[in-house]
Amino acid sequence: MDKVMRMSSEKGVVIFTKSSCCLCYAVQILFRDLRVQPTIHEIDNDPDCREIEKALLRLGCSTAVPAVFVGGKLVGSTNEVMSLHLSGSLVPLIKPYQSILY
Amino acid sequence: MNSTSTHFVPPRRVGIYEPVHQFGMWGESFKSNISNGTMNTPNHIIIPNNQKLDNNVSEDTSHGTAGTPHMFDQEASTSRHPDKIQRRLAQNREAARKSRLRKKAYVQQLETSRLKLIQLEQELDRARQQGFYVGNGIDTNSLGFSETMNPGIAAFEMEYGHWVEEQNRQICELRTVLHGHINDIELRSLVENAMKHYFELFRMKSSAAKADVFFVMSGMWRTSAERFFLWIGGFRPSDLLKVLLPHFDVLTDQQLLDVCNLKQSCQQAEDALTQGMEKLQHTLADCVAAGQLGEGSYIPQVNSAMDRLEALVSFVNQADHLRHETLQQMYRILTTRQAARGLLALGEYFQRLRALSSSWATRHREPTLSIATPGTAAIFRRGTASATSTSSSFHGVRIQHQVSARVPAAATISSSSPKPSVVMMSKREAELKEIRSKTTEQLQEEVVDLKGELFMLRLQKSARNEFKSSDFRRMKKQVARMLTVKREREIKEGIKKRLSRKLDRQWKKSIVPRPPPSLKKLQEEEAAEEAAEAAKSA
Repeated sequence: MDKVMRMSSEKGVVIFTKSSCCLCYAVQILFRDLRVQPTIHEIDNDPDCREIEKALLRLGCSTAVPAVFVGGKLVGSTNEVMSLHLSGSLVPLIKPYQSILY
Repeated sequence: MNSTSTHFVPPRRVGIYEPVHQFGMWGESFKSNISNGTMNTPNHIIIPNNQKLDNNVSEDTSHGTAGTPHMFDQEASTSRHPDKIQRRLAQNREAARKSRLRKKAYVQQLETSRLKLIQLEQELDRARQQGFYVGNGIDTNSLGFSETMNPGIAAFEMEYGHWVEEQNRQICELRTVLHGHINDIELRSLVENAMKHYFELFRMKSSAAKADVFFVMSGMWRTSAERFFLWIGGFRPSDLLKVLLPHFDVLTDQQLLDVCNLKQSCQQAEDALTQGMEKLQHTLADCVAAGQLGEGSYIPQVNSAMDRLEALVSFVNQADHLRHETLQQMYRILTTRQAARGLLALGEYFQRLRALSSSWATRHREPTLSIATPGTAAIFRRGTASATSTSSSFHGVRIQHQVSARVPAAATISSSSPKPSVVMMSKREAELKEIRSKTTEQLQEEVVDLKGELFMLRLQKSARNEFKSSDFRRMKKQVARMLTVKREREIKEGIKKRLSRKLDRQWKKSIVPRPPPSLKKLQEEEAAEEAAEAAKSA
């Protein structure tokens, strides 16, 4: 649980993914398109995979992965990210972490 | 012979037992048989009556043995019979009873399957008429039992049919309302209903995806043209924006900005999902192709692929979520009136796609039929019909009725349906339309002509000439139709029966007999012949 807190409060955009999950890949692509370099934590390579999943679910994600944290705060799963993006609120959230290049 | 309630005495307790005249027990025993799973449950079956064993009919009806199976020791008073024979008889009886029950169960199963088959065929017909393609549920398996068919998918297809009907109705309503005047509050509620309707579709799709995600992804529940534009089980959200945006001429600067942003973010989200799908395809392909291809055993690969496929459901849900959000955002950005116009445009876009599918599907069958709106289709048909016929659509006894050749008998979509799919009218509807398009005076002239034709027919008959007997019936019914339409119009004006009869009598008195068109033709032809001969000889 604290591992999750520690990892999620890292600066920038943090995404918890599983290597087998293609929705996670889609979310990564989206952030890449927004010129953000998120920190990816693949939890199935982690020994505490099950714990992390449970912690994420308890924190309020509808599905454990992909779980997106921006600046230490939980944004949510794919649904929430998409909704925010379409309503235009995602970009201001990640603005400080966007790279200026390309 | 004592009277008893009915039971099945197990083989060791042999005795003569009496069946009961309880036909209601059939259901009981049948159910208990099925629930026990076997036909051979010795202890608790209440045996229904066998008419062959009528010798033991007695006062058992007083025993309401609806479910109290109790073992009743029955020593036969016919102890004269040796035990062996008795036992054999009893076992025989039992076997007969069991086989009867088995047969009954089989027949019941056959009946249910038959009913199911009829139901499905009806749905198929209905769906085909509406231009949909009914999907996999039918052709992938034999119609044995309901377990082999996907009830979720069948339900979804029916629900989708209703959804489309409701959608068409809403579009018509929007259209009429926007042409007229409506206050903002009512318009807003209409718009919100339309939005809710779309969201309802996404909900339906979500449960259908749980039932069979491949079905939803295949788009077989949509028409062919819509399938051409399919993206993860539905329309592309960016397409939606592309279709809608040209329709809004006056947008405020803020709206323009918002719309631009929405367009961009929608496209980005769509691209992300597309790439995710591609990755899923690659991983799935790798999964299926893992190990040695060609060994012949592939259960582990199939199993691991099954796990991957679960992700497909979440993709479909995400795609629908994206569509949902796009619609929601557009609603937020636009004013109520703009949103109404947008929804109307969107709805009609899909209607056009559906119409395109239907006419593409029938393009080989009927080359003279044109697409789309009922108005144009009717005009086209009327034009051709009148080109080939005289003012009356009857050509006399010898020439075939032209309209029948034009309209295929197989086309039966009712022209009165509100859907602007390809309008194919049946013969009778086309004729009725023609009749209704005439004025009352024209109708009267037509009736007079027809009666004349009938007269000619009678002459032919009496002269033992060649004539078509079906023409009698046909023409009489035509007369009836015209008179019906005439009377309908009278009723609309409010003319009651007595007055109508009076007018009718007046008209009949005023008819001047004149030769019907067929006779005229004959005379013209004769005149032409004579003229030709005269020209020849002269």
